[in-house]
Amino acid sequence: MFTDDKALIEAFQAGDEFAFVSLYNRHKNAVFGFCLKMLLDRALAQDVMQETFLRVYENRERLMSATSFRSWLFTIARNQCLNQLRRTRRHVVFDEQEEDALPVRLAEGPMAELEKSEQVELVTHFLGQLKPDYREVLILREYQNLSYDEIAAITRSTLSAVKSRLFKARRKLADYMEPLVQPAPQPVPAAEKPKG
Amino acid sequence: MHDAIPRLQPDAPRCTDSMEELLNLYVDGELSFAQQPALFAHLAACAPCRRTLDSVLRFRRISRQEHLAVPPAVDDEFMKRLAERRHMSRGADREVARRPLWQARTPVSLRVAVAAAVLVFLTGLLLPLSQQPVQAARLVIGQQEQVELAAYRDADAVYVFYPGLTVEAAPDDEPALESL
Repeated sequence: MFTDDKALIEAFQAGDEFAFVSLYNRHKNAVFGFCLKMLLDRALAQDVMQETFLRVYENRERLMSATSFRSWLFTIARNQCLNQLRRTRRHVVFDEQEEDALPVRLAEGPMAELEKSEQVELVTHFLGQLKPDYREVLILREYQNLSYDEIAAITRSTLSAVKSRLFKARRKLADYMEPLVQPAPQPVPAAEKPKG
Repeated sequence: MHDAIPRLQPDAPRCTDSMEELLNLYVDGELSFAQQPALFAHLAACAPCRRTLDSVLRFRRISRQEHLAVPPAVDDEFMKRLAERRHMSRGADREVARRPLWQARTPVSLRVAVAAAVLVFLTGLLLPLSQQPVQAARLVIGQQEQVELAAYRDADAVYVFYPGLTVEAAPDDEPALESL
């Protein structure tokens, strides 16, 4: 029984097909989630997720370090998503018209009063307003919980560039969400620290 | 309530970049304890920054409560695609194996490729020095030669050599020699 990615990858590189299936089962939801939030299209995301794992299967000998598997996986997924976005030109640039496209039902009241599924829909809508450059770092950080270093490796950027893009993305996001967010009455107490 | 705090316009002046960085580092759990009092003091006085913090944390909470799972039908489809791709790659492998030796292609590392290129280059430089100049063979094509048969009248026989052609004539075969 394999317990970690490293053992699975070594077995996979040695020709164990079951190890590859285990890797697929272990990471498919994360890759699918990333693709879905990048492409905002379920069918495309499923296709790109599958293609990502097929490329992993075909290029197993190129994975030199088993420890960087997750970064490598997301690098392939990211490249596939960007290619798909270029092909379909689905990336949406923020403008007033897009803001108007927000469903009236969702835009009416404070976010806290919405159902959970409506909140998810609203947040996904805001995510779609961001440029792919901003969207990818935000998804990798917030949905996949990756570190700055891992995001830098995946996006082939420097650490400072990742931070800069992430901070700008959050600023944009805060601008979109701000009308629907209840004001924070009290500052965060010093002892409490959010879990990353 | 909500209207008590004016909405931050996109072109409105923002807090300093350093404070925004502290806020983001705090959200990501990267802010040291020594830097936290400065951030909290700023948040206590700055409503837009509090709102930004609230938006980011709310976004995080919503994004992490969404469970994105691959449907079983997609798994089945993937396994089919994998089997097809594996079948195709095996077919390609067999085709490569059937190729003659001179069409064989083997991937080599960059180091090996560079070493081979340097070796060919050095061989090309040194090879002419190690060999004597080659005398080119003289080729005579279409050249006519006149033979003074009178000078060979006392000889037993006259031999005329041409590449691929030898003519032999006895001295008394004068008509044959003249016709040559």
